[in-house]
Amino acid sequence: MNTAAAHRFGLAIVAAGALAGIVLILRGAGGGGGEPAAPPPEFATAEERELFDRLAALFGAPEQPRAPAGFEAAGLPAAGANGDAHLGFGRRVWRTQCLHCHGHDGSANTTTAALLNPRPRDFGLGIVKFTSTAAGAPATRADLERTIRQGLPFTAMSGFDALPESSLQTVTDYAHWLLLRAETWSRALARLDAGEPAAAAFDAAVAATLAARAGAAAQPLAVPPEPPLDAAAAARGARIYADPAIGCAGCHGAEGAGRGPLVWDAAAEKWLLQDAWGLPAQPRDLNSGQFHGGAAPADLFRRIHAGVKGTPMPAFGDRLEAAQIWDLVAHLRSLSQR
Amino acid sequence: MSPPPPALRRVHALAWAALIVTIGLTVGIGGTITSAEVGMAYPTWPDINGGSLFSFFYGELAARFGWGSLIEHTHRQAGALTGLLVLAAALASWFGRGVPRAVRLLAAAVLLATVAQGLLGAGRVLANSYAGAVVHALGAQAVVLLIVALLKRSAPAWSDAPATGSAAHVARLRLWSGAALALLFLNLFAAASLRHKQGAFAAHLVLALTAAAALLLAAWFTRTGFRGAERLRSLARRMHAALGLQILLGAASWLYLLGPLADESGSARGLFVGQAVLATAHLLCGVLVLAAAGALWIEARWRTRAEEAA
Repeated sequence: MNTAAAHRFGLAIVAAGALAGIVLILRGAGGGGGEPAAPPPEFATAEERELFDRLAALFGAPEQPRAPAGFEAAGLPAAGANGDAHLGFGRRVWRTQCLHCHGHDGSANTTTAALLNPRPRDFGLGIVKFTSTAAGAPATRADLERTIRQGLPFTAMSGFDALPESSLQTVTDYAHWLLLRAETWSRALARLDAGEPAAAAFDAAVAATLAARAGAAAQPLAVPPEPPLDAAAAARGARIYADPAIGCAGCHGAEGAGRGPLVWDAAAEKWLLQDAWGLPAQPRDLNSGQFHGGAAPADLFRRIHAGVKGTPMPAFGDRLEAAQIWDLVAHLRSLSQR
Repeated sequence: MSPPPPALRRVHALAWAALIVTIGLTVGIGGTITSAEVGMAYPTWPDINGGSLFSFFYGELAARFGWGSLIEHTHRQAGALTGLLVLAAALASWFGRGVPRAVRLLAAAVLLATVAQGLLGAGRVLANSYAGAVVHALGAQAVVLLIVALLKRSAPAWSDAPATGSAAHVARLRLWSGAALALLFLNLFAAASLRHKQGAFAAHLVLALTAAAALLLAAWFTRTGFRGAERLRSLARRMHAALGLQILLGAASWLYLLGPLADESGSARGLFVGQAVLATAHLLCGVLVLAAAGALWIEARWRTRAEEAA
């Protein structure tokens, strides 16, 4: 082929290729941003399989979510085609924004998750660490929205406030759906393990999941008016902090550095306690000022009152008066401002 | 012919250093971030969870915030090193004697582009935006091309006699090297979109094949039309070799990331590491192809002359 012919032939090929490429880009075609195949579920017993089938009948599957009947009061979209489509849209947002850390089904079983500390939340237990609710109460949809919108400071969970509002709302609903599905599954599995038949275990689990979100339990913890968090309050808080009967220093250390004798083996240089997910429980270094659940006084009050769910950080709401908790908040703030 | 002034030699050496650091470290680690999907390992900027850009607390960082944070931190540090090197090149060009005005302007453009690219990276993190990540990825390629331009323009060989060929060959080489460069950039947009989970595999494939065709034609016109121009022909050979490797890496990446071997492994972590290494190698080789294509276009545009006019 002579060069003139090659030139003309090349022009035709390249013009066609460039045009096709531009059209494909504009159409957003071609895939490749696709979802990894879901691993097939494995079951120890036939009853467990029956339980899973019931879960799938009510909730659908992570890649094809269904709005479950009866969960409207818990904050999920109403059952039906519209609700399914709404959750399906949330799933698409999840795939692009959340999946690489939190995984296909929210179990955070991804290699990216293994590269991060703190590890991204595993939704599999139906537990969320930072909630606005009282001790023992589950997270509300508003709690999830706050975390998704604002992120968790000093972690890889950044805020998604820049997402279009419709995307943020639908992915919040999808995350809430994952959480309720996981909570129902965990409860049902526990009942099955306790010897209940699959059908009864599943129905009871659904009822318990819904009951946990009914009435006052689902309401945010009322935070009393904030008193002056001055030096006097901080001094009173320091005394409470050091009181062995309360035990703050046992985990957070006498100086608040987060390595108290109950949680840190200094000789072996290892953590002694685990959280509900089987990960080392690392109490907050109170001197750092890095509070994952928020550093506002009301956030700290709620955390002391209700504890951090799924971790050894207990709730002190039934052991301390509100004024004493505020004193502790004043002390924590003084530690991080030193 | 008088030797180039020392200041120009310094600019050239600094441009080489900037190119090596930018491709080998900044883009390499940046590509690893995307491959490992840890771009948001810490979503703060410019502080790093209490540390600064110039904190060298690697062990503590990995222990406290995970390996993802370490990769992100070293990427930012490599970017800062690129910034320091292009700043040094700019200062050497502005304050050095005998440096041509074009080199000074190019050095300023490289510096501005590098600063803008750093700010784009910050914006991508602070806005938590995939679209921002795609723009940041394209910005990296633009910085590489500008450094290549500075490298070529400050080279001692720039003052050598230009390569000569027939008017038709000169025109065709300019056209095809320019078209290849434009197609590569367009393809980079598709590739960056694919890597940031926006799909676009078909567009990437079509544009990659089209850009490869344009590159092969540019190389062919170089070989057939400029038989005595060894510098030009050597550049085309290197581009050819990089393109061949890039096609192999692209095929392997497809096989292991999107194709039939994507799910066949006993070890999920092993597969992930393999995929991350392949994807990053494919990206790096693509940058080399782009740099070679950019160099060829610069040669064709400014360092070739039609025989009739000679």
